[in-house]
Amino acid sequence: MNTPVYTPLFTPIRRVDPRRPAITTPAGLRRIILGSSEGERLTANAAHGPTVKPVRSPGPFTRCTLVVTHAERNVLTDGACQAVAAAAILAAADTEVVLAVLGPCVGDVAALGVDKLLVLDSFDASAYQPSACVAWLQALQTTLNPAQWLFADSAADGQLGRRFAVAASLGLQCGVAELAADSLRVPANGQQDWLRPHTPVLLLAKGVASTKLPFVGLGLRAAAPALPTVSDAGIEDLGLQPGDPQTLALEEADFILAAGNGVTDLPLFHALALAVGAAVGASRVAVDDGRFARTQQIGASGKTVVASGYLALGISGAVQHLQGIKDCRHVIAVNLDASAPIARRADLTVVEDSAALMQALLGLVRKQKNAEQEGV
Amino acid sequence: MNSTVTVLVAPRRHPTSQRLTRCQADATAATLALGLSMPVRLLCAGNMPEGVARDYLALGAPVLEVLQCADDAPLLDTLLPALRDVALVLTGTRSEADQGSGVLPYALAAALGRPVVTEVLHVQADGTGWIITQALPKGARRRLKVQAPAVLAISAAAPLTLRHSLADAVAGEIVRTAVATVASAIPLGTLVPTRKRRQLLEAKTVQSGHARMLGAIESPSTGGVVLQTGSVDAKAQAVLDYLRTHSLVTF
Repeated sequence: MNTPVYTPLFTPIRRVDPRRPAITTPAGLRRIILGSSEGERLTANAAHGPTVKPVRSPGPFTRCTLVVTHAERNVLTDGACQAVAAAAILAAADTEVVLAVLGPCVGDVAALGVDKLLVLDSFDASAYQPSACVAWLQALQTTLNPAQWLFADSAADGQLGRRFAVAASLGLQCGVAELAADSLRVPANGQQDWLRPHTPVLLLAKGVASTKLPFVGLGLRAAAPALPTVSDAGIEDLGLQPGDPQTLALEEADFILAAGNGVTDLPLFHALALAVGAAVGASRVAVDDGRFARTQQIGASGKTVVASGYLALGISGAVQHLQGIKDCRHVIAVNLDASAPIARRADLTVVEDSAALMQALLGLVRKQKNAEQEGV
Repeated sequence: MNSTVTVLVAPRRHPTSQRLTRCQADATAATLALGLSMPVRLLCAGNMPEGVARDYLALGAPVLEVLQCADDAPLLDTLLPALRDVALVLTGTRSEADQGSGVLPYALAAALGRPVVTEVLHVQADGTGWIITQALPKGARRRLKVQAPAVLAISAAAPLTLRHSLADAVAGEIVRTAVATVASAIPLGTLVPTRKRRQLLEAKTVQSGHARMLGAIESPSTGGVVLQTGSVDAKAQAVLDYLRTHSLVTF
């Protein structure tokens, strides 16, 4: 007897699991790589969390780019961050990005793209010592021998860069408005730019580079050489007189206390400004009501301020007002409405009545000052 | 070393009309020098049209010297012989919007072997030296005692009133001297038209379309910490803590 040969009636159909591991390529195509764990659902979900950026270059380094800056209130200025970003973007794999900071510096510099950080903690910004700073940079030049020096072309950094480039007889380009891998542009007149090759020392204008980087630096801290004692021949320092925030023009003020429609107790407000040592500003509504002078108005039709700290009391944050404070570093808002537009701009929003908070803050500040005086 | 104060002046090209005009920063420096009760000499290297020179003389200076040289001649080599035995050299300070590198005071001081003081607001004679007030950021002022000879770069913020006297403009003397100089060996670069928008230096990122879409729906600014609950004192303490951690207050 023949045993019947059963051919399977339904051949098993090869099915593709639609949820199998896959990756999305830069071109936007979905790729399934057999046997690869890349793109599994669990890891794909994790991608929505905080991403870990890769290191730009693990080393070893043969050359270096040196960025020099002065710290302002223990942090890097925006110009310095842009100079570091420019250095990191232009650096090749064997080029180390070194940041030399005059003055104490806190914060995560690796995220800015810094590979090595040299901090001169003992730097005294109140002393007049340009020759010593130049000598310090010349000492760095002999130890590191940087291929490129980058400075922000602003205030103290710009002056130090010019002094150093002249003293070291290095080629210098000031106010670089556009920087590319092989050339740079310096404004010549209203309609034309000078297109020039790179020089060893570059002073970068504001907004040259984007600080959004897809990579991080190594962020190692190294010991900086001590500041040499070089006296400035023919110049004697007679002392520094700090600016009085009450009489200062608002554009120059570093810490501003601003009042809006929510502030009605003016004596209390001015007492608080005096106690914390802040300049006084106001929103348009408060100025229109006659509570403040027109010169104190901050916003599109008033002044644009560049303070390190901005404490807004009873200000809801109209677009015109936010334009006036777009360059402020730290914004603190006190407002009864948590959904006011200024809450999106502020680093710290306190939902509270401004008069009550001013009273409490003034009490705290006075207590703190008294305790400090007794301690001394 | 004579006691004349020399002020370096130059014409400035107006950014809109492209005409040569008097430079505000140099005029400020000249005004400061004229207030020092010492003989003042205005000095210019390069091409200076008659009208601009008269504008400078209208500030009250009796004489303006023009060292006529080619446009591409190195400025430093042209100026140096005229400045060797001058006690005080004053220059203006380049404003943010102006052209020019702002290196001249530093280069001059290095070539002459003299100290340079920048951002000068006020100069006052004091015995053998000068008491100089220097402007620093955030309204701070520094006082320095400087022994002549020195190079001073006058701040554009110096609180001075510029005068304009037609009589002085007409009576002032313009002395033009031809100076033979060799052309600079360093090329200036090529002039190219300015782009409509400045090209930002950005890192190259390879992003998937999916990631770009995610970037489009994410809000760019999420705001900071919002304190809603708690007593007034706790909130005031939080504000003070924030100010102190970011060293915005000194107590």
